[in-house]
Amino acid sequence: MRPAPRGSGPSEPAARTAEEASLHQELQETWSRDPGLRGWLASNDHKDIGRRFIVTALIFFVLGGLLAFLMRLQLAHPNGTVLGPDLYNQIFTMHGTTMMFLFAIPVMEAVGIYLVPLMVGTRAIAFPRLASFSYWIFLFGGVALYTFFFLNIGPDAGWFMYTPLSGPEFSPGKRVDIWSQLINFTEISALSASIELIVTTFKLRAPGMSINRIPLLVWAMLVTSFMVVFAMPSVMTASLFLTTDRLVGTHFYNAAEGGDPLLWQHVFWFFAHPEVYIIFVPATGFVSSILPAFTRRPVFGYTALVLSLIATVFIGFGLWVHHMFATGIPQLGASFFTAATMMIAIPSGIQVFCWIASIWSGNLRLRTPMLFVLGFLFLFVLGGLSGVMQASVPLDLQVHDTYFVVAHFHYVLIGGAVFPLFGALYFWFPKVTGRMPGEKMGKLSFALMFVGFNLTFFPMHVLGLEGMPRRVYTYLPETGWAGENLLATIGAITLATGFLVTLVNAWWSIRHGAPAGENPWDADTLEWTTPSPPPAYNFLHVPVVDSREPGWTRTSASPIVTGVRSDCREVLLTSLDAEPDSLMELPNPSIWPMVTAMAAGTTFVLACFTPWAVPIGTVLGGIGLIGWAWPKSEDDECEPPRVEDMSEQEKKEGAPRVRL
Amino acid sequence: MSTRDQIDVSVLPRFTFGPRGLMWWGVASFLAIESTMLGICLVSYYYLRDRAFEWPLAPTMLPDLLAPTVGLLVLLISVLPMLYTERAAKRLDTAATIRGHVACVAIGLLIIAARVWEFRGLHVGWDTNVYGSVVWIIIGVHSYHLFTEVMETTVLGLLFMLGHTHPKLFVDATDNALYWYFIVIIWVPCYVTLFLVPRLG
Repeated sequence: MRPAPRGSGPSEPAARTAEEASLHQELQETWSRDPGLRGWLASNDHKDIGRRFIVTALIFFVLGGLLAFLMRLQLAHPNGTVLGPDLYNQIFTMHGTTMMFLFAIPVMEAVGIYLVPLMVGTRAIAFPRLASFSYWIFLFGGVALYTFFFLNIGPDAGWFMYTPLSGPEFSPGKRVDIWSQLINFTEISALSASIELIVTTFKLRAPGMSINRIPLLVWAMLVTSFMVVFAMPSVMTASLFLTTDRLVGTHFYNAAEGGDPLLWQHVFWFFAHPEVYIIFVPATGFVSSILPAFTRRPVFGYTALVLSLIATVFIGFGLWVHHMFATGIPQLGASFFTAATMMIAIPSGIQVFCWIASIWSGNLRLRTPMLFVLGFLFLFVLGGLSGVMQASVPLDLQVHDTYFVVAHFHYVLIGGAVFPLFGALYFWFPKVTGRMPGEKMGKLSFALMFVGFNLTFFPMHVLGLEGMPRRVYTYLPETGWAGENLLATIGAITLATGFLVTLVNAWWSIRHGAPAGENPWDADTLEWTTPSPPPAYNFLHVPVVDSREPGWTRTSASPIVTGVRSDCREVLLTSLDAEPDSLMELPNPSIWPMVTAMAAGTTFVLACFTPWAVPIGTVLGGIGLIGWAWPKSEDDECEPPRVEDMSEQEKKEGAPRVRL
Repeated sequence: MSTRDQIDVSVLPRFTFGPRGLMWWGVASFLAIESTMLGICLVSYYYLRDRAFEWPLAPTMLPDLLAPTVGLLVLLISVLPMLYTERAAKRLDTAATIRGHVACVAIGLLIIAARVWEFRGLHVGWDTNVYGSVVWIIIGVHSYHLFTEVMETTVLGLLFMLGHTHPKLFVDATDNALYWYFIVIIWVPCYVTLFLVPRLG
């Protein structure tokens, strides 16, 4: 069988009136991207961008995984000789940096970019050109980082880049500069994506989708986006300070001139602790979306889940000092942050109990996505518990910088985010590709991943308690750490095989999977009411939402919106209460976002070498932005008329197409 | 099909000002990001000051007060032409909108000139000590915004003059005003921090 076409020309639903067929034709012409390479590069369809984003992030996931694999090979035996110390430093730094900045954050944003407009029932994402820009800047940043790594200029001071080690005195050369510029790429990409998701959720929800009917994944993405908005500027500032310290001789982290290396830790962790939740909160959204389909009931405790998400944000910003217990902070401060750290277990616990209640009272179907959710529940609870343990200062001091911490955060990040992500990949695979993923391979992949993960990371708890420090490139046989390390390496091979099975499954299913139809899992959200893969325009009729589970309640007789133009890229804007409020034409696809991203990318790379990058970048970026925002010169009937052609009445009413 | 309930939205406006539109939210989110960044710079200033024996660090002199005070006053006054521009744009009055943009760009250039004068009165380089570094970063980040906003206002004004008179551009002009107000308001805590706080000793 031929693969399902991507992006355009989705499978036709079975029954369609002549009227609907012509509407489909017209919408398809309006919303499809132009053919050819230029059309591909210029596309601002959120589904194109989301798909590219997910695939690119998964490629970085594989690269980061290969680096981890090299480390496990090196550590499998005492006195390992696979890697030397300098390369080992680069590899663990690149592994952490890749997984956090090039995989975890982008992939979560990417799923949001793909799904949020579909879940809220609109035809496009708010600021489609910005979405295109956020992808290109992410791609260029990742490619630049790996290019420098392959040139042996990879960063080597750990993914959190502590000063003074990363300062000009102890890290001469360009390795750290490359890292801090990568931060700029990532943060701009994530911030842009967050603005798109916030505004899409606020303004583009289908009529009737009031705040108590917003799908939990959309809530999760909204909450995450707000965290990005208030956390990312912090790392932006930290890396700006670091760059200027290294490049033009400022003294932010230089104790000799009144600076303070600990300032780095404060400003960095003020970002990087919330970052854990930026990765974890979307994963909770996946779980809450997958559960209803496989428990055959609405998720238990909608309001409690939403409030827990919001509580997580607020508490999540008050925890950063628990990463700094070993720096000699005042005891009162330590106690405060211990309390805050324990407190965040409350909203997390509420969520876990809500999910358990859903499973308990539902009618469980053990398909692959659900298996990943169950795996998540088990692993996340374990990781959460070792986290609460470390809230205690004496215990934290004991295990600080040991493999116990490595075990803890891999349980939270892989168990808490990668397992739900894989569940999500299986769950939405039929929606994105139009074909079902292979169930047997899915289950095999889950089994290998679950066993492999625990084999890899559980022994690390023990290693940490036995005193093995993290980030050492080798150890002596007398330490007695060889057995656990070998076990972890065997686990890593199993885990990697599990990932590989999913990749093979995806490759195979895109070609040979059974056709999926609109709603193969019988799930409850709006994206399942449109064909798979969704057409360029998302929905033939903009829906009117009348329940929290439109995927279950909508029929061909359910209410719809009419009067949104099909010959223009017009979307309906709604109020906070999801009342129809106004119409707006979104911009056409454009190559300028990519050009602007290239200008910004050039600037950042140049900034590693000379401060002249700032004026040069201002000019380049300015040209890009002006090209991007330049208004269309010819009059076009999609837009309201020029003001001089409007009557006073039209000026007052906002030039509606049909007068009241 | 005909039996379905339908909501006809073709009577709705095709452009709106303020929070009813998309762009306002985009600008507001951007300003939230930039406020957070400047806020963290300011917190860093107080953190470093808290750790210093004296502030400014010896042998640095106190910054001049006259230039920044004049700069602040001009900045505060610049709100008036921007308010005029915003109102003209909301009325869709092309001529007044153009006049407003010209006035704003003129006063914007004046503010930039005052800013150059302020830099000369700092009496410290960014590489002298950490006091100099943090002062320069705060004033630098703000100046970058100021410069960007004056450029943006110039481009908008030129577009109106070139005859781009679609309602969308008028909406952009009102959202641009939001950015201008942000630059004025955010400078007040920066001014207090940079020029008054060191005088507290």
